[in-house]
Amino acid sequence: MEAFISLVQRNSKVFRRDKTQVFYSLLSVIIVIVLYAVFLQKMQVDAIEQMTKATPELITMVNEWLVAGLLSMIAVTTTLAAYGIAVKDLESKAQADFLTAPISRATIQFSYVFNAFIIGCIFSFIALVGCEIFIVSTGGELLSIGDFVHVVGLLFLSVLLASVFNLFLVFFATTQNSFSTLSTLVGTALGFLCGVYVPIGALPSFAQNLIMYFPISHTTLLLRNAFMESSIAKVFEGVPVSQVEDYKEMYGIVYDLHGSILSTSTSIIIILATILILAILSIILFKKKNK
Amino acid sequence: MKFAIQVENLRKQYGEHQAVKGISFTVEEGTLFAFLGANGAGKSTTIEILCTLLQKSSGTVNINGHTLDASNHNAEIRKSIGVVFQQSLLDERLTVRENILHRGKTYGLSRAQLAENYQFVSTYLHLEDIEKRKYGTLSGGQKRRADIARALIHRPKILFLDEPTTGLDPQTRQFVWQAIKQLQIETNMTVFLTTHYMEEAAVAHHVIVLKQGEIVAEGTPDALKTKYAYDSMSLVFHNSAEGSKWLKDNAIAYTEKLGIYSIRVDSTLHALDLLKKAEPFIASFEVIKGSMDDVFLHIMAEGGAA
Repeated sequence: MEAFISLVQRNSKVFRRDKTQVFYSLLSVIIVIVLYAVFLQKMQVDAIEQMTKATPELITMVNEWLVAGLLSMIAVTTTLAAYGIAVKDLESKAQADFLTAPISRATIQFSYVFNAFIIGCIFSFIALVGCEIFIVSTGGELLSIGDFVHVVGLLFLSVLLASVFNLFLVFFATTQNSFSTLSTLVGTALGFLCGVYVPIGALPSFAQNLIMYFPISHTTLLLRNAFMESSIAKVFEGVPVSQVEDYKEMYGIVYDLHGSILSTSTSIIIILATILILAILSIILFKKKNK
Repeated sequence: MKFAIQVENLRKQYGEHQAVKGISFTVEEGTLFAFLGANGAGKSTTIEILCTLLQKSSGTVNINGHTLDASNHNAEIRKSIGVVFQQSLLDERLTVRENILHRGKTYGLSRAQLAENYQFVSTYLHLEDIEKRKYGTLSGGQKRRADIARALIHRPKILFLDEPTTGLDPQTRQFVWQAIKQLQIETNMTVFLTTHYMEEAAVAHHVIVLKQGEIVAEGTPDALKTKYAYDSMSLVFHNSAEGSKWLKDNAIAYTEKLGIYSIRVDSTLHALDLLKKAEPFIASFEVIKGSMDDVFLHIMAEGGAA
């Protein structure tokens, strides 16, 4: 156990001290913030103003929409970057050095997974604090204790999903070159697949279906619900229900898959099932690789 | 006589290619053992098998009384060996101390034991001046010191070094080499190293020369020298024509290159004897002692008739 903890500590230090690595893991998130500042926010506010009058709550609601998307992306990009250590160790033969000690390959592998999870949690939590500061400073309100716990719980779930999802992907990256290609690919695709760069409703229907079938986008969905619930109620007071539903579908706050609205529990089941399946596949791949 | 390592009929096959072709040898406890060979001779493959990093194809290996690949024995073997790799494998952004302690903790030592061991390796390899520095900022020689300290942190019975001095400057090479030698003598540890520097092999207790996966020669450096190396003398004559005629007249075999005549001599005294006779013709001369280089070149050229 002490060996395992020591490995995790080592992985964590190696990651945190690589400042460029940390920066790159946050790059796609920075891009979102820039896009948002430049036009995404204004586009959304303009669209909603046509349904109801502009209020300070409206800005807060749109900001919360952004924050939910950001947090779900951070979980993925930081955990993926943390796996960079595993790839580097493999390529540089540093793993061989660990293997001359009385620890198993499985212990080493699991230390990478656990480290990715911890790194994801730390960065998500820091990001959450940053997001709250942003929301409050732009005139919004702090999350209530209940909502905060709810959001933290969802963050854990998204980091867990991201850790397993990326573990699976990283099995296919054996060199640092292929890993950086993978990172770029994931960082770019993620913004679209979570409906953050472009709202889901603005996409053609096949792309909408793709997003709804993409398990990680369900963490975005759940986070949006958690953040926006009370401000949606305020902003759309007196607006016809059908219009509110249209808004929610347009911006990926609810998913309408084949004519029926997915419930929160369906999303959670999709996430948990994905974690389970990818974990099993990863174990199979790991065993195959180390025969 | 106790053996630290016993290897019998060890083979390693990569598809069609046999990297190690059924070699057998033993390493006595507390000795310095050198594995010599050109690149691709199978040195690294063998060392990786002994260090439990690579699966052997067949044969038996026993290390410190534990049979390799027998159930649960590899962990015991790993506790009793330390490995210094060809490349530097510690983490660049961690300090030397952090690197060594993090890896030391993977051996299941108690906190007190680890601290004591760290004190030992730190004194031994003079880590005081570099222990707080990031590994990535160290020079080649300092890195090597840290690498060796890491390999010794659990106080292993056998230290494996895979070409530990390759790529180092001569001064650093000497330092590293002395540290290894001193350590071996003072702690009576078994040291198993691969190298392609002949002078390093010359101070080993026992040398094995490997060629294309087979042992082509083995013995003490002295025995190998006696068998494969000879002293020679280079002569430059005032007049090459007269000189070569004199050599021919006396039935002495020679080779000539750029006016320098090389002849084989049995001993330095034999050289003196020849010099006296040929004195009138000689402008300059040099007697060259047989070295491990000769042993190596000779064996490699011969294809090994050990």
